[in-house]
Amino acid sequence: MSVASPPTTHTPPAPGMPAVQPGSSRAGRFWGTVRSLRWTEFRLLIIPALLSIVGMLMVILVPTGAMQWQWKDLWMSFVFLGLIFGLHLFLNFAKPRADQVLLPITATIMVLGLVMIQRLEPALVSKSDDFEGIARKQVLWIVVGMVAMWATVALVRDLNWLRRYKYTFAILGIGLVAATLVFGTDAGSGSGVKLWFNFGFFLFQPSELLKVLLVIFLAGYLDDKRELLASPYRVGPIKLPPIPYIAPLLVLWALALVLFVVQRDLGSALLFFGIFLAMLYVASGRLFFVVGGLALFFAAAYTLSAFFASQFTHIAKRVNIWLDPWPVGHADGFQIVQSLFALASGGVLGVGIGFGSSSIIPAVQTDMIISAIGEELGLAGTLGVVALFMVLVYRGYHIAFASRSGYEQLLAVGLTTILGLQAIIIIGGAIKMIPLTGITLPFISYGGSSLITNCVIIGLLLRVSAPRPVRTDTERLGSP
Amino acid sequence: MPGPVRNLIRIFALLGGLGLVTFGLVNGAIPGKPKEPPSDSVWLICLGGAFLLFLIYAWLTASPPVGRYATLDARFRHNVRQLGAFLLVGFALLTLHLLREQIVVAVAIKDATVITAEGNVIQDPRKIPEELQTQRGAIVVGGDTIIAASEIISPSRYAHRIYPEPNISYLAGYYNPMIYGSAGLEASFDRYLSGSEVLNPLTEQQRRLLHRPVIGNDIYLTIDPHLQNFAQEQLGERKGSVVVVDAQTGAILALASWPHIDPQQLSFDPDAADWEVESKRIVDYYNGVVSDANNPLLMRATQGLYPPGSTFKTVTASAAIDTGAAQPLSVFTDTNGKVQVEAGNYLHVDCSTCRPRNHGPQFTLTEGYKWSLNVVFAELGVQLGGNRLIEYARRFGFGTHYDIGLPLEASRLASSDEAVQVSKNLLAATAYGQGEVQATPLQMALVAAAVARGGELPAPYMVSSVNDHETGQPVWQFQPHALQQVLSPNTDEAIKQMMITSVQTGWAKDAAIQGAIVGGKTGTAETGHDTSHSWFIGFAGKDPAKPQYAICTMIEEGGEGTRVALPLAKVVLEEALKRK
Repeated sequence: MSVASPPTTHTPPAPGMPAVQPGSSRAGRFWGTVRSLRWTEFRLLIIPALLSIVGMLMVILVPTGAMQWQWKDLWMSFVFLGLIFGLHLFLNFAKPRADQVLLPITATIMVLGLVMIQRLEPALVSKSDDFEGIARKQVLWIVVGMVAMWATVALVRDLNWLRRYKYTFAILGIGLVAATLVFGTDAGSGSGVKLWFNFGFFLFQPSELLKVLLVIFLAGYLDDKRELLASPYRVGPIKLPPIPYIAPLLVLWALALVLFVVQRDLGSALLFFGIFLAMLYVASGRLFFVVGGLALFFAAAYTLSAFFASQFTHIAKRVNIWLDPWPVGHADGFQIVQSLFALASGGVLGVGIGFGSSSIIPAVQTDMIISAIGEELGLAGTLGVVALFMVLVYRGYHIAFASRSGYEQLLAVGLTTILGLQAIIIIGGAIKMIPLTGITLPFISYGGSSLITNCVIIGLLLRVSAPRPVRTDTERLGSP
Repeated sequence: MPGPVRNLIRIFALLGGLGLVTFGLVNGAIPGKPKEPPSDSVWLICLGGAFLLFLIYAWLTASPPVGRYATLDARFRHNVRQLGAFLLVGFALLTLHLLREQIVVAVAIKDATVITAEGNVIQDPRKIPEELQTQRGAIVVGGDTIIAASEIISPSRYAHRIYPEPNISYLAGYYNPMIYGSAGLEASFDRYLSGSEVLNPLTEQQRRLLHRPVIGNDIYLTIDPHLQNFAQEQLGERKGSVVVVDAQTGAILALASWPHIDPQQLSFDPDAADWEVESKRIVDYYNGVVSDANNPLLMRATQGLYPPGSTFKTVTASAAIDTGAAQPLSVFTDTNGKVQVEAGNYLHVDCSTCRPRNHGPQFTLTEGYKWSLNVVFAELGVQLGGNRLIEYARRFGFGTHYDIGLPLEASRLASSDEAVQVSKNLLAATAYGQGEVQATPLQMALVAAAVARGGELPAPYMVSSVNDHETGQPVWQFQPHALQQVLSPNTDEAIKQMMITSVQTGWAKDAAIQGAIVGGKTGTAETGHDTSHSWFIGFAGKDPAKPQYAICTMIEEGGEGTRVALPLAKVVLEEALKRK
């Protein structure tokens, strides 16, 4: 990764445009405004726009189950088009200097998920009526998510507001975990893991919101204490962080442990702990904290294993399935074995949208969606998804580099790390690179909580990339 | 850390990581045992090692170390680059792992079939629909009797393989691509039956484009359904087999074995309410068959190797006459039914009921043959020598893997050529069909067929043609031919006469059939467990110059050839002679 390129891409003048000095005349001002529009974003958005139309056409043309899509169902693609170009238009006027790659990347990842869900719905409905309408619901979540993204960009006028109320957010997060412990329900997965709030129409997964709250808090807290953390006490040969200042961190660390042990939400626990350590490292630069945190975590988990034996057999089972799922391929290993079959039958270019049979994989529309992509779009599809997330992480860190305040830097790093780490954990789990833990693949998996929260993350990143403009003419038109 | 050391570590970490990953990928590409899922342990260890090495490389590459007095911002950038390097390595590992799962081990995963301790079958669910939608060709005997066919079930359009002829269908082998694969003709003619043999590239492309199911071609057998049914019924529930060959063409007309499997039990029924139960039923049946002490999976007619006993004297006599070592009227001495051919205690003895009473010690070769005297043949064998016996056994087809589309064992004269060359005792015993000689019933039927055909060994065949399913036009046909000249016509005439004499005046006289020329030789082969296999080989026909039917009957531990195998052969030959 290099830091040579600027964080936001300025549009070079299109060929054939009059080279007029900005601000010299009325016409010059007009061309200056045109040039400062978000053309890069516009051009990049053509890709997800075409994908949504072509993808839906393929889904309509290839029969995939008892239920068939009609031509009129193309409205979903047009809603999506309206949303991304609407947001593009809004950014042109409200935040012209916000990062121009984030929205197209997000939209491309999102549309891949939408097409897969449109394709999977008929096949899943043939298995159970519960899946009726998941594509339409996903469109609804995308609408809500885009609105949330817009609201985040438009309404969070001052990021310091987030910083000021960091403890409130932290307490809100802890409250959420506590509430889940008490009121949580098992959303029909049958695993007995109670991670959801049932609001009737909408199953809300608090851990999705929790990860954003965690980053908002950590960014504020670590920025305040950055210098202290970087200059630790020396106790004998060991360098320790100043004890009073790590107390809140220990609380968060314990929170992750609670999720890990009591809730059995391994994926979220892994994600939280990863984010926690990543931000701690970025703020302090001390590898010792990371290693120490990990060691403490495992020591505590080991101690707790005596008290929560059933939870730990659950974890041991997951690891065994990861190492060799075949002997239990009809029972506990079914999901991962079917995922391997799907990936294997995909090959390089896949069997084509609608020609696979990955609807057999449990949770294919959420956690295991990468396997469905792997079957129907092949290695090209899966590596495409990996590449998109890599670009997303790359842009996120550049936004961090370019931002002015330490708080915003840490915020951008934390939010980006959520998306990158979450993608690695769930893709790695679904393809049997690491033990499978149930979390969603950002923007692709079906589900409202995940989609909306991740849209908020993109909104915050867009917001960080567009500092409150100091409204002078030269700045508005883009400095050279 | 000084710069050069840092660079060296970086380069070694990168090379080490790449080496590990390459090793892991190459290791995964080596095909393992068939149907076994790939083992991931080596790969995961490689990937874990590569993770650490790549991390070191990326960590050192991402950012130069910051000094102690660097600004907070510079430190922050340094730290973020290292975090970025960590995620980058994570994505790189995802890429490598996907490469492995989707390309390197993809075929092994698709083919994997695991049967768990509880008997559940784990395999790619795509396989069943794919295989089941193939409309396999039929296997037809006698021009119109279907012994294996695919029935299309509506509305799923899946095909159910049915085997309607209980006495004949097992010749098709079995077809169970999901769990056990296929066997017999279903396996050897699979490319025609499954339609994977592309005969017309244009129609094949058209079919693919329209996602139409593959339609396989039909294969036609030489088996006569009536004769096969009759032979199977006559064999009944006796371990053994009956082989009837058209001596003039090599066409196999009946090939009965007992016990045999029921291929229907191994055929997957897509109409079954619960496919898992259906799979389990098949696994249970198969396990039962495999653990059955009678070994029904062994097709005795072509795979069963037994000492042929006295029927092998036909080969020895042929070798002797053809090489001029003896004539049918050459005289041998058998004073008391015992002979010693080599220093030591070993005696070759005639069977207790063989020697006719009130006969002197002198026997001609023909008499030795028709009364099946071991002493005569022991002496003849020694006289003949190992090399000539080896040569004539080879000419009669011993050691040949006949390609008839069924699993088949080659018969053999001895464990090695050297054995009969060195040991006179073994040579003598081999000459009358004991020792180490092992033959299949099909092989012994072919010995009779070669004699009946005028000294030429016909190439045996069971599949006469493969016909296009739609047009009925043959796309492949077997051309009947002789494999080799075994005997000169004169020798053959002499041997044929000896076999006929054996039926007319010898111990095989019960095999005589009114209105037909019949030649034959019985055999009672000692098993070494105080039991004996009962054999009969022979030929019968209306044209004395060209007897049409050659036969071999064999009953495992059935007792004397004259009492068990001979009557069985006689009724089957009578039935064969009624054919048009």
